Amino acid sequence: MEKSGYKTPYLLLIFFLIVLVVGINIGEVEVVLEKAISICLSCIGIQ
Amino acid sequence: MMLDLRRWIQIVATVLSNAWLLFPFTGTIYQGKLKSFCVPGLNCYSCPAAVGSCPLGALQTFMANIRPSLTVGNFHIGFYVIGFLGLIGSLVGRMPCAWVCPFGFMQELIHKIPSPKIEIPRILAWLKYVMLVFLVILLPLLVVDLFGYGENWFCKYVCPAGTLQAGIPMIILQPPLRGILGTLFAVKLIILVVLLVSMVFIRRPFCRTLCPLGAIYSLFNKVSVFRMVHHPDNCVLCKQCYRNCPMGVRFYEGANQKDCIRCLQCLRKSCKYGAISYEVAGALPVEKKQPVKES
Amino acid sequence: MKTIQKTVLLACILFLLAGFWGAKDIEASDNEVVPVDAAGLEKLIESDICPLIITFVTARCRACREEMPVYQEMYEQYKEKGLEIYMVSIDFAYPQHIQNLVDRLNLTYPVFWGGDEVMHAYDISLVPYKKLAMNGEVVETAVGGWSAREIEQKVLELIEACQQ
Repeated sequence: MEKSGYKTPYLLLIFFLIVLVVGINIGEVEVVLEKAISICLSCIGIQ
Repeated sequence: MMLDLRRWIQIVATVLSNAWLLFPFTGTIYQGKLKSFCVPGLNCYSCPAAVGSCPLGALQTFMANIRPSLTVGNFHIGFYVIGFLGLIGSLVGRMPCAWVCPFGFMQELIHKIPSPKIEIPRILAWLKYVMLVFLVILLPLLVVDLFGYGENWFCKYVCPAGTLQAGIPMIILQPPLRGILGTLFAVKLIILVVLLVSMVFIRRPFCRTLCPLGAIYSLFNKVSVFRMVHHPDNCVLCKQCYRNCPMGVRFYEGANQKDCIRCLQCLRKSCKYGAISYEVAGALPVEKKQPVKES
Repeated sequence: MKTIQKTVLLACILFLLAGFWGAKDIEASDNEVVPVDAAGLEKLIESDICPLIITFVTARCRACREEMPVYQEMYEQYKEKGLEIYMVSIDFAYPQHIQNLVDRLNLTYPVFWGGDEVMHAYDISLVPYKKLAMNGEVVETAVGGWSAREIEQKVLELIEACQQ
């Protein structure tokens, strides 16, 4: 059983939380929405 | 027969990610604000019933559009999706595959069809990292047209979930689309059919060999808050955990392997010897099973 | 473990560099993208132009981008015969993306930016999406990309229908 490394998950959590917040703040949510609500034909293999 | 907790959660998650049931009337996809959010599992956002975004599709889109975004002054390089996936990964590792991914759920159901079951060579497990690095990141990023736009390579050339959830329903819902079907769709259809057939014989073939989303989560397995624990002292190497594992993981070779999806099947249904448990933030759960002494 | 960390770091740096490479400035053209709302667009359609092709596009849609130069060619060739082409971008949030394409391709036909308002108003879920109109009346609505030959055929058909 691994005893060390109990800090790593929290550091990762904080890091990715910051990344997520940065993403939201620079307006990436809207990019995801835009992409998701219009079907791009090439993306589903039709064209 | 009572369904166990995991099955219930899988059903609820599948229904929740595909809750837009008005599509037969509108003939198109859901276009509401909920699609700003990604779902944790692989669920195509071009599916008429989908109410959330596919994190993998969104990630590829960011990769493919980095240059045009920078040209117009936006620094959109996918922080939102990377942060989302990293957050889930560092909390529970690859757990979403087992509990909330609709495509994984479907593979488990199809595998219930009685048939001789076969095992795949271990080396194929690396293929999903090739998919992740090349089809999800590098090719969308580097193969660009005159204007700097790339393509969603994984969605376009491989993703069977896209063909099943979006391609096929859309050509049924929108007849004009039938006129523009080509080789590409045929290729994707073949990939889908081959995978569907192999699901009968092989445990979760797509998750284990091709899924880039699983590949991303798997990187967190060893460092997540939630971790599996193997107690070698209690283990008698009966391999019952391997036989019952939906991913064909040999748990007795070590906890938190790349393909472990934390479905807890081994813990709850297989191991009679108390060799398997989990920990949250380094603390063992109170309900840890005591080893059963063999008489 | 060290090698893995180094590889990841290197990959991140390459990733960022790859992003910047190709992000260069381009000369702005005279054809400026005009914002339009659903009502405004309706008025544009209700004119006596014959034939009128309206294509709804997004900048990141490949099939849309492939059609743009073809429309430009058609526009130059058949403008005198009455053909008018409007392109409406339904990109979210800002018109810069479509302006970028207009500048690079030197498009001269009128380009509008409708954003998600127009997208919802016309129930568009698939791009490229086209409306073909004759004298203010929409005669055909089509989804999916067309090849250069299909577009030319359609244009000739429409022009002939208009002259009758």
